[in-house]
Amino acid sequence: MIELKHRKPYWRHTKLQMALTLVPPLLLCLGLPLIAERLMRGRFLGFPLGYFLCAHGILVLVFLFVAWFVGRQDTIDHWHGAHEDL
Amino acid sequence: MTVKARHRSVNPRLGTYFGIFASALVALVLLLLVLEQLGLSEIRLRQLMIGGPLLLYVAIGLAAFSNQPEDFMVCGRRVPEFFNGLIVAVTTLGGTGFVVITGALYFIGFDALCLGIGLIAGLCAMTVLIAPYLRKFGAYTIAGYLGRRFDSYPVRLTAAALLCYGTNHGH
Repeated sequence: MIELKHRKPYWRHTKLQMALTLVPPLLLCLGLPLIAERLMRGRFLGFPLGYFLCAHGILVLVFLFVAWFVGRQDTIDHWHGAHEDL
Repeated sequence: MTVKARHRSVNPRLGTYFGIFASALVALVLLLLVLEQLGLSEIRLRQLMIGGPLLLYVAIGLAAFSNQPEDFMVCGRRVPEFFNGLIVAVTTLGGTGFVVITGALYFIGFDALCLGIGLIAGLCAMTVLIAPYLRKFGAYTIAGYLGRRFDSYPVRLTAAALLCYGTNHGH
């Protein structure tokens, strides 16, 4: 169980990590479809680039963000003594 | 409330079980190819294609019968986390979701990507905002969390009913 004096720094650290994980994928999900038309001229593996990025690129990038978040949050939990191993 | 620490090892025979299951599915597909060449009707082929795996799932369910929530929700913690996460993601999308998104992409085209992108954004938000705290609380679902948080079975039941209603109407 985390000590009282560590709670504020722990939550500050966690909130920052949360924002860094949520904001870029949100901008990606909102912004990439808007510029997809301009990217349609390019090709990737035979598919229009804009379509491919919206269908697969967003998925891969969000997956990487989530994987990074899991690793970082685990480190933060261990740093502040808030980890609970199952 | 903290989660009690306990150690569960990954099932060492997991690869063997998966190999048996995958072999059974491949064998079924090959059998259906052979039967198709021998002239079996299309209706029978479809019934075998759906019924065969269904019987396999029923057999697995009966052989590994369990009524523990941990076994249903997190595979008894005897499966690596990555595969557990894949199962949760597929369950969230659901069988209906697979068909819905495929059909929407076929009929609408590029604009139907909003369904997939929205799903990805929702899963990302769920992973960051909800899943870690459910795990720390020791609950598997929102309904379970609310029931334990407020120590009320009616609250749990109401939350579960609302989630079922919302899921059905969403699809």
